[in-house]
Amino acid sequence: MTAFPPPPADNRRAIVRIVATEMVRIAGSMAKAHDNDVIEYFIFTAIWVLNSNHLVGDGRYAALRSIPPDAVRRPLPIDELKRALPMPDEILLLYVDRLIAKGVVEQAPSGLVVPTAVFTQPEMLEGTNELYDHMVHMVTAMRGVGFSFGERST
Amino acid sequence: MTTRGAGASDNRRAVLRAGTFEILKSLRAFSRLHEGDMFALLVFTTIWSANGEHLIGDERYTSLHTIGPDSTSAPITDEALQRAIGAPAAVVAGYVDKFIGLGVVERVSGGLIIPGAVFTLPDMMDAANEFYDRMLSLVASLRTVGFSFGRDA
Repeated sequence: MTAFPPPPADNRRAIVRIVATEMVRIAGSMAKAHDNDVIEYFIFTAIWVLNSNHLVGDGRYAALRSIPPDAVRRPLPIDELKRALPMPDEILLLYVDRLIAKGVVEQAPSGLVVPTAVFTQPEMLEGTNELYDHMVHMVTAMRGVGFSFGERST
Repeated sequence: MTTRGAGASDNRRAVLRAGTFEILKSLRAFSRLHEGDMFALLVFTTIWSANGEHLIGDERYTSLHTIGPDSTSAPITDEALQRAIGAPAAVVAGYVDKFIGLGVVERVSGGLIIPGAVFTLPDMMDAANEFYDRMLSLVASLRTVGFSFGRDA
């Protein structure tokens, strides 16, 4: 006779609560570099992520200090940013202008780029490290309420 | 326990690149609950997560259908919401007013709450379920770039 394991407990709402709370915390923490403005943080983040998303899986740029050079960054057309971060145009464009004025985003001919030099600033490296630690903390909290990451101790 | 083990290769930048991309994708998907406005989604999420943060670890409210009663919601003040978002106060207040007008946020003694009834709406239940599934995608994506989740008990 086949013995089936008991069904896993339904922990979906607990997981949603943990992840959402951690994300709000993370965003608040990361927004320190953006005058504590979470929206500016998300717009800045969307630009750099989409500049470099094609590098996911490229082992040359996996380590904290192996920052991709400007030459490999893919400029982000404003329309693509609007699709990635849907919100009223007047708000989005206000923030883009502010990021350009701060010098952390450049308007290249084919789109927006966060230049490599921005990532070498000490607070940016610290922020990257801190974000990694937040993710480790979130994983621990999720496991605490029974979320399975699919690898069991032997 | 989840750690970056001694001798493990440094994959922090790759993890953040992959993880953040997945999170942005999820935010974009869930903004459909707010007429495709991600700013509205962030304000709404900040309110309900503050309302229920103290319930993390409370086993009575862990399953998809066990929504905490309104009496267990911890209201968030307008000032705390403003501090949490950090965007211009008038913009955040505009979203709050809109939510109150739609009946998805209530102003109670002590601040703002999202009533439990809102979470029982079919779109919201579907979103909670989808959120869980997207976490599984995030896990898979992070594993691909070498993030170690340690081992389940």
